[in-house]
Amino acid sequence: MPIKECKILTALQDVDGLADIQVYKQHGGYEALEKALKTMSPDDVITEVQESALAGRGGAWFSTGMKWSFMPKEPDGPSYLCVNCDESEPGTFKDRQLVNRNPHQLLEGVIIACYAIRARAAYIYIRGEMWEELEQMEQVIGQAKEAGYLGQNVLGTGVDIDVFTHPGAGAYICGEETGLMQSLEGKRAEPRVKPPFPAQKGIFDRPTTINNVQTISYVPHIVKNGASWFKEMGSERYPGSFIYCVSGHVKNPGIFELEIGGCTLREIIYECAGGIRDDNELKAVIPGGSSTPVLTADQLDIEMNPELWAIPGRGEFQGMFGTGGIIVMDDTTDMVDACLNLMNFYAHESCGQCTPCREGIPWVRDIVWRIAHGQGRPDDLDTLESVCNNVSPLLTPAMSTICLFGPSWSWPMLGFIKAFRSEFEAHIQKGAGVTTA
Amino acid sequence: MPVELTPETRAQCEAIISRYPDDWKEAAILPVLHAVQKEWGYVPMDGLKLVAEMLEMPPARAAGVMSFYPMFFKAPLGQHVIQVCSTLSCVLCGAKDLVEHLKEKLQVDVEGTSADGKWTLAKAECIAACEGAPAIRIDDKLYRDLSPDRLDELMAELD
Repeated sequence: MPIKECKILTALQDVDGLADIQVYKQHGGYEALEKALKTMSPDDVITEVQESALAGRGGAWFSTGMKWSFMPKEPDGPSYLCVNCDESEPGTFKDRQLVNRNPHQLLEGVIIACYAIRARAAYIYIRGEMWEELEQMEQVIGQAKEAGYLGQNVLGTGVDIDVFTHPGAGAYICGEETGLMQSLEGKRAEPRVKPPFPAQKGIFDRPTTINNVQTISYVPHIVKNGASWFKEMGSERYPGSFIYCVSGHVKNPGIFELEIGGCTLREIIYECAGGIRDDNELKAVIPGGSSTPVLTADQLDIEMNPELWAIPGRGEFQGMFGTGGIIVMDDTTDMVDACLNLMNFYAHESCGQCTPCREGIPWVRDIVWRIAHGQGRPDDLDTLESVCNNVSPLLTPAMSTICLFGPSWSWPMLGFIKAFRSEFEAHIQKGAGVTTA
Repeated sequence: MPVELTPETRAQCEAIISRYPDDWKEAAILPVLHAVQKEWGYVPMDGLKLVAEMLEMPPARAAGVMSFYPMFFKAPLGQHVIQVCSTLSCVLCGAKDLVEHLKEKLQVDVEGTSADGKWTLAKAECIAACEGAPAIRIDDKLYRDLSPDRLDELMAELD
């Protein structure tokens, strides 16, 4: 059975000029905003989103409506919305496409969300490497302001909403929500301890909601078409679509918006992404961004429904669903080398706040480096496992760091050893490595 | 060494600062540093002091913030900065060949600047363009599906 595409957010992906508000409006743009502000109360919007069971697509799959309901109904000062467009998880590139191709869709969602949570202003935190998208977003905000969708007295409702962009500057940790808040306040992006949760005390010590680009982009569609429309798609617990990003050794890399559930990882790789380049054999797949433990070729028949995965659900499948960033590796790939590449990344990106992470990840990187370079020692794998287990054992909630960055490298490291132990052992025994990363 | 900003950049910085609550001026440090770096190409120590003054924060704290973020440079770079994405998807698709090609072509190491001052070679962590691997950035622009030949063409166009 061919995979059914489910284009909600990417329906207009091929329309040219969508960054022009007139073109966006020709395709039904800002109808949802008019509907929300003119016919619904803020609580009606929250209820609609809660009933749709929209869950955060940043990886945690927490109910968006519920998150919004934590915000004060009668705030004693400004509340804020932060939009996380700091997409930096290796293998993930959907936010860039969403913001690039259809920026008004995001902005419309942002304005509706501000109305629902009674936020005075929203900050869209865009990573510095997306400068073209950031400049375009500023133009788009200007157009919306001119059209009366933003600023003072939006659509004559008496509500004031401002939206600003805020550029990042190359630090991966700003994608972690409390790191993002620190960065937005002009600090080093060292994540905060929770509680207090952002809805109690977020940016500028005020109640704050943080949503991911993909999540917010669904909001206009849900408001316009209703919660029951959204629930007709996807799985029962997680309705709607998800955007998969396939890269690496495939014939047709790109983004694919599909219903949640209803297809397997294998089908996405072989049907959507055209299968393996040069018709090589598939060797390994990172299923949802580089922080998700690597899978082997015999694990691809798992259904792409987060409920069935160990993380975020309680599913039996010992894997982590992640961000949809599927990185495919064929049989020419040296797995120690691939592992080293990712550990280099994490060693570069640790914020340095917690000792197990600051000291642990360079140590891990150095050990993997020497294994890859033919200088591995017999007890290296034991040491790697010990360092990683002290940070966070594979797919467990135990962790010795403030934020999830720790598990973000300990789990994939443990995953590489679990899936390809013999390859690591062979490198150590042969003392002959491949030098690339 | 530059110590004063053009009136345009200063006005831009003031506009940026107005986006944040009055008693949270230092929230503007990242966008202000980007604006300053756009004018000067880097952020010299005196420039950082200027930024700290605008944001009413101690210069030492401004320096602590700036040093956390890899996109700000303390010293001048080449006229153009080429960043080759060196994370997994791009490396699986040939990013290393691009780096080797550039090292040879420009006679520099990574983080080095060519003798004529035109090009700085750098590596970047995942730039969220994995479908177009190997991808690079030259200054603020993204380019996908590079090969050494295509890179040569691109550099000739920009030169």
